[in-house]
Amino acid sequence: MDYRHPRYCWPRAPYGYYDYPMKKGLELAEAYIPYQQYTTSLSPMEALRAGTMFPELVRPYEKKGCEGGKADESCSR
Amino acid sequence: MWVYEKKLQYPVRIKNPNPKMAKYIITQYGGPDGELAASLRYLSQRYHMPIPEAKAVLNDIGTEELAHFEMVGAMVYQLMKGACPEEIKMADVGTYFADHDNAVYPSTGTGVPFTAAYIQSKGDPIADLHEDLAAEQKARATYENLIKLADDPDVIDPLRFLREREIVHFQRFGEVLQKVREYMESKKYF
Ligand SMILES: [Fe+2]
Repeated sequence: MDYRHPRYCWPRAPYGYYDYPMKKGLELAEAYIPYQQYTTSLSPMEALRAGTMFPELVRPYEKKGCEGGKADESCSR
Repeated sequence: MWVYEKKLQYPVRIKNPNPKMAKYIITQYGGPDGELAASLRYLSQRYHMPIPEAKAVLNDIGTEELAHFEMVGAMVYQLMKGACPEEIKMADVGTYFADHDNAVYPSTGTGVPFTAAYIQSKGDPIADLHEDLAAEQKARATYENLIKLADDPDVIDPLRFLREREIVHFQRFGEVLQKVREYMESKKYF
C-alpha cells in the first residue's frame, strides 16, 4: 500500500486525480468549479427566502448551539 | 453608472437593539472580508478582465456587494439605535460609542478603520479571480461565525440570506475562471 497515493492522504481527491492522464480539460495546478446546469427555478418568494432562485445552489447553514451556553461536545466548535 | 432602488435587497427589521451584536457584525461593513472590500475589489478588477462575460460578472457581483454593504449598515444601525449608554457600556461598545455615537462607520469590531489594503487588483485575471473565490469563502465563513454569535431571529435571518449569496457568487466566479482560462488558452494557438 502506497500511503503517498492521493487516495490515502486526501479525504476527497479532486476529479480525475486517480486516473492520470486526467479527464479531458483538467490540468494539474488549476482550480475547477463545474458549470451550473439549469434545471428549474424557485418561485420569486421562495427564491428571496432561500437567497437564490436555483434549487441546486441552496446550501442552508444549520446552527448547532452550545447546550446551556457551555462549550462542550454539543457545541458546534 | 448606477440606478438606485430605495429598498434593501432583503428586509432588515431588527426590533431589539443589541450593541454587542452590532460590534460583531460591523466587520462585514468595514472589515477585511466585508462587503465594502468585496465591492471595491470586484468593481476595480473588472477593467482588466479579458472577456466581456468576466467584466459583466464582476460588475454585477460588485454592484450586489454594495447592496449587501447597505444591508449590513442597516443592521448595525438598527442594533445600535435606541441602546442607552448603560447598555453600551455593558456590551463593551463604549470605545466605538465615544468615537461615533450610534453612527455607522466602516471599521472592524475592534475599531480598525477600513482600508484598501484588504483588497488587491493584480492585473492578472487568473490571480484576481482566485482572490475573488477566496473572498467569497471568507465572507461565507464570517457569516457562519456571526450566525453562531446571534440568537435573535431578526438578526439571523438577513445573515443567512447574505451567507447564501456568497455561495452563489463563488459558483459564478468559478464559471468565469473557466471561461477566462479557455479564452487565454485559445489565444495561445491562434
Ligand atoms: Fe459576495
